[in-house]
Amino acid sequence: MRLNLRYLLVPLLFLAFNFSSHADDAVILEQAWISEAPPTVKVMAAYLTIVNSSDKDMTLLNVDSQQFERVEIHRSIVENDTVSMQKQNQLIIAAGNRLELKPGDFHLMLFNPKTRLQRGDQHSLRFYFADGSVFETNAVVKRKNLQDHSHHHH
Amino acid sequence: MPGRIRVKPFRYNGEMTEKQRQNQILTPVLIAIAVIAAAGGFYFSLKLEQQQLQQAAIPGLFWPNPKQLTQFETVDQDGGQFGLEQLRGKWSFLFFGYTNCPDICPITLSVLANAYPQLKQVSEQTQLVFVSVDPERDESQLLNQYVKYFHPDMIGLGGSQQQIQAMTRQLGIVYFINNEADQENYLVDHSASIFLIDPLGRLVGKIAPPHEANAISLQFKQIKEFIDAT
Repeated sequence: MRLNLRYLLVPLLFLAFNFSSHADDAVILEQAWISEAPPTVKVMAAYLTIVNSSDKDMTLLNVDSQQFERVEIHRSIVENDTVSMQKQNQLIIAAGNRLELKPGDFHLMLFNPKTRLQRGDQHSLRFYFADGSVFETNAVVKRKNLQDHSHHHH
Repeated sequence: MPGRIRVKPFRYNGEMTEKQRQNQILTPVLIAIAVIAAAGGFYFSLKLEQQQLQQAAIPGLFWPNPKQLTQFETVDQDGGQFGLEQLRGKWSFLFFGYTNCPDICPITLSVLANAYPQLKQVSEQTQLVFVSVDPERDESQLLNQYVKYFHPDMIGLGGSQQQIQAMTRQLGIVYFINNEADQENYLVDHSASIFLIDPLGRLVGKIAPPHEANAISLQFKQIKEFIDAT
């Protein structure tokens, strides 16, 4: 039995090592969330921070999700008081840098959810980079966190 | 020549004494008028300057020529008519967008809904109005669910494309529907600001992004105080 365990341990350790190497990967996806919307809304937004901890630039080409028909990378731009959303064909995250996708700026557009989204739900998003690497993260559905309320006590 | 000189001052002096008697009364009156006028002018110029200073300090205030809105017809989230009459007697915060706008619209409407209790403190007669610039997709029932999600008091306006255009044109708001490539999931370019209409139906202010609840209510307070004082 003891011998058997030892034989089992080697591949297990190997697996664990492989798994943990994922943590010091080139890209870390942080705090992904989907902005909760009224049930009738067919287009939603997701936000997150993409951290490039590698020493080379990373180019994000595509994002997809099983929960949505299509995901696009967009940026809201205000010019002459008019806001327009501009589709981004790629996002370059410079070596050692982070890019924050946030309300009123870069964001992911999620088209036609396959089921109704509820607050607290988690949906997986996959990120495809130009070097062939793919990263996945779970985005939680929540209402936009409005900080201005914390200053008020009446 | 010297004789003329001697005669002239003599006559002149005679007239002066007569005039002086009149001037004893007239001069102080004239001086008083001049002083009052000068003081008044000074006071008004000060007041004007103060007003101008105050005006300059209020961002987004449209003064001295706020645009007076004329009659328009739109349809609210319950299918009722909504026109100039529904703006009268209230301070209305208008935002223009569309329900399938995923980023800017929900942020702005959430901030407005958050600011609403504070805005009501400035004036009880305050209403939040979301105007759809994509009325063909945003029919009443959809608008209803959309605005109520942000706040039960929020009003949502739609109608025909022409009805919305007739209203936005008055306010000088432009929007552009990008539906040439995709008839289903298209985007609309629209104004990023919140527009403030006073109880007389005049466009008195514009609140530019980025929007924050405390800043909006402060700006509202300043604009309302300024207009109430004029």
